[in-house]
Amino acid sequence: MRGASPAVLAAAVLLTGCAAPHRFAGTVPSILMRPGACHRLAELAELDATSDVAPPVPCSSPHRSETFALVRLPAILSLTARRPDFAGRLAGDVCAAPTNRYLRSYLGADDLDRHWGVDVWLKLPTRSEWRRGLRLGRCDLVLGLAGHSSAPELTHPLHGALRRADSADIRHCRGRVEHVTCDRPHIAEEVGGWTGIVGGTYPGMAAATRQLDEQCWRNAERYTGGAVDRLPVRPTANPLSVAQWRKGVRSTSCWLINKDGHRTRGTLRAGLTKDVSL
Amino acid sequence: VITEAETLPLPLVPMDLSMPRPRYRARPAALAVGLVVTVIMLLRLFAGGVVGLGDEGDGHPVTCSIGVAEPGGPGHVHPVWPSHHWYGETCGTAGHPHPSTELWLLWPVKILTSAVSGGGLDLRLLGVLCSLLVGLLCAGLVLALGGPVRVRAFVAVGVGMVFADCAFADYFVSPYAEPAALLGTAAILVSLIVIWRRGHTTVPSLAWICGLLLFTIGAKAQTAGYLVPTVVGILAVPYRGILPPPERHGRVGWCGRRWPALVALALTGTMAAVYVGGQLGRADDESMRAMAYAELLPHDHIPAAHLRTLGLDTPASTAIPYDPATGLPNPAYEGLHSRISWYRIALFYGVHPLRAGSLLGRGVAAAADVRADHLGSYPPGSGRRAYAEENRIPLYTWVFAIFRWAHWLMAAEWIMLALAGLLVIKHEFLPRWSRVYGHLALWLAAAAPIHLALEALTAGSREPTRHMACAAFLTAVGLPVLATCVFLLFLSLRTLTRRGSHARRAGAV
Repeated sequence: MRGASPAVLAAAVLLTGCAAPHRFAGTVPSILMRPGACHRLAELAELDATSDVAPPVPCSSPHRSETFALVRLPAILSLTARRPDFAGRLAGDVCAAPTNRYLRSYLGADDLDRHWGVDVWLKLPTRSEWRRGLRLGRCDLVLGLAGHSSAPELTHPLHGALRRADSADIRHCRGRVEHVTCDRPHIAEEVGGWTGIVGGTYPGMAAATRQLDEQCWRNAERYTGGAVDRLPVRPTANPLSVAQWRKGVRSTSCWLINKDGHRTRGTLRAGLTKDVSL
Repeated sequence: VITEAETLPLPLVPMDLSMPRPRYRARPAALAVGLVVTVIMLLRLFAGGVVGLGDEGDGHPVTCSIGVAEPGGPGHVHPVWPSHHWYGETCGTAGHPHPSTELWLLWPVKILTSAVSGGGLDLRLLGVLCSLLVGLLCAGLVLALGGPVRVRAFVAVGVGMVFADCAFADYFVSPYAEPAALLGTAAILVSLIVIWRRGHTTVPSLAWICGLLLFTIGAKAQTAGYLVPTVVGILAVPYRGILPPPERHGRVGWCGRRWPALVALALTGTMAAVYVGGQLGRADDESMRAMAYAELLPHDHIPAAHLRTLGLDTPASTAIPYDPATGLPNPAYEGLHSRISWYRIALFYGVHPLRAGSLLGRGVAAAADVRADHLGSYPPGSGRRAYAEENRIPLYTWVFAIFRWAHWLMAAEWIMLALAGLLVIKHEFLPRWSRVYGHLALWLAAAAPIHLALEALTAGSREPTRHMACAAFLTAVGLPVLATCVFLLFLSLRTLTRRGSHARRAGAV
């Protein structure tokens, strides 16, 4: 044992280098991230991490998030010496303004499109960037879990996605009770636009229903490019009761419901392009 | 009538407990034991399909350092981990790097995997490497221990079967740090046995023990608890090697005969304190809050009062880092970070022995559970359901079923180990080699509860069973050691009785 000791101890000293974690090179500082950049985030640990300085990937390759806005952090966060480690909880507040202002236009939505299953996540600067004074928040779009253990992967950009044929995965549909994205089996697809009642008095349940269905049909006609009567669907507006009216509700949602109740996948939106144009 | 022979003092000579004489030499026996244990380990891990332990994320901080990612969830073990490039704060514990001596095992395995299959990490190769190391350690035990070869082999095989038990073997095909911690623990035992048997320390033996201590602590910070019995175990024997100390008497002479050990232990203690301090500092946010809120709140009858003692006066508002309504930072939570510390937590349990007892009781219960049943043992595609557990060699797991039935029996085992160890060491008539078993029993009896207490204090509220793996391992290793000590005491008692009978007969004649 005595003879082997020096060799073993020398090997141990050499191996000590192995005990130190390896740092991976090739990071991109948070300040260089731009709207429209896509991020791989293949692992749950990467998705959940407070910061992300991995180099962006082409949006045509598999990825899980896409930056749609960069925001200055509110004072309550900016003045904190220690960077908060719970960015996920802050997304609703920090990214509220860009979400309200830009999200629909970023997705390419017009008044007839209803997006669904797109979550807004927040990434903060790394601790070292925070110490150097960077107070920039990155608002990312991530597809909702929808029963998966991790967010679904994307292989196309979300920028202008609602104008493309592959937009079913961010459109709003429903089954008998559950709300799903339109790429999953569903029996109804939501049509946007105004579907409501104007005027100072409630016209009665039957008249209200007739009025809403007419508006819904007109919206559906535009939504489907004038093909709603040829499709196996029935435009139906959700009812608006007198109780809702008294609470100030003036509009409701419009749905294209499959006539025979069978489940379909995909969207009936017309005028979409198949050109992803990356 | 008391005969003259009965009143005579017994001769103060060690008994010959090696009767009948050993027929086997130590080296072939060591080779045989090493081979048998290695083969048993390999068979139990791989025959009939590989088994291991699934990961629910705790393996990530270590394995990400070598550039791999887990391909699935905790319900199954995933033997092959593909390469992955981790950037920035995505690798480590909450973004902090996680240095660990487990990487000493994983790096060679990664290099081997690259040579065999081109990349990633094949945990099956880790299983093979660990099986070989377990065999080496058991062979080392046979060589290091004293006495008849059959006794040595019994203890070594007993320890080997602890490694092979389904409660511990699965760790060797897993991404956790337990393989390094368990192997390091056994290696510390072998090194200590060497100095106890020799009856003195040398510079190489001290370097081995201290190096192995740091290796083990580097894998699992809470094994710093081993320092206490190891200090006592090393200082129990004097130093003898190059630059022997001058002969003096009294305390100065005692210290003089142990100065290299004192220097080595001081260095080791300092390095361990720096590492453990760093580890606990990184785990501050999660562990201290878990300690205060997940441990104290549910198990305390006056939690508010005790939280005030810890400096946490508003439990409801300080427990959550963000405002539930807005998601914005909670100022009270930020303040809590500066008020609570491990020192205050330790002090709290020091002055509240009932709380400490309750905490230890839950630690013992977690150690008795022995198997982390929220992690699967089989790979996907093996035909087993998710979270299915293997039961290939459940020898010690069966014994732990008794501990689960009555937790106090585990503490009773430690007490019996300590008593048996003391009796073997202090027994004047037992041969010198038998004292090694006494020292070993005492070390285990001290190390197991100290380590368990540290685990319960710092990490016991989250995944307690897996965190108690080393405490359960020490308790399991204690069983063959306890059996050997009891056997030695029984033999000595029988020999003494026979001598008494002979003496009475001689007196009668």
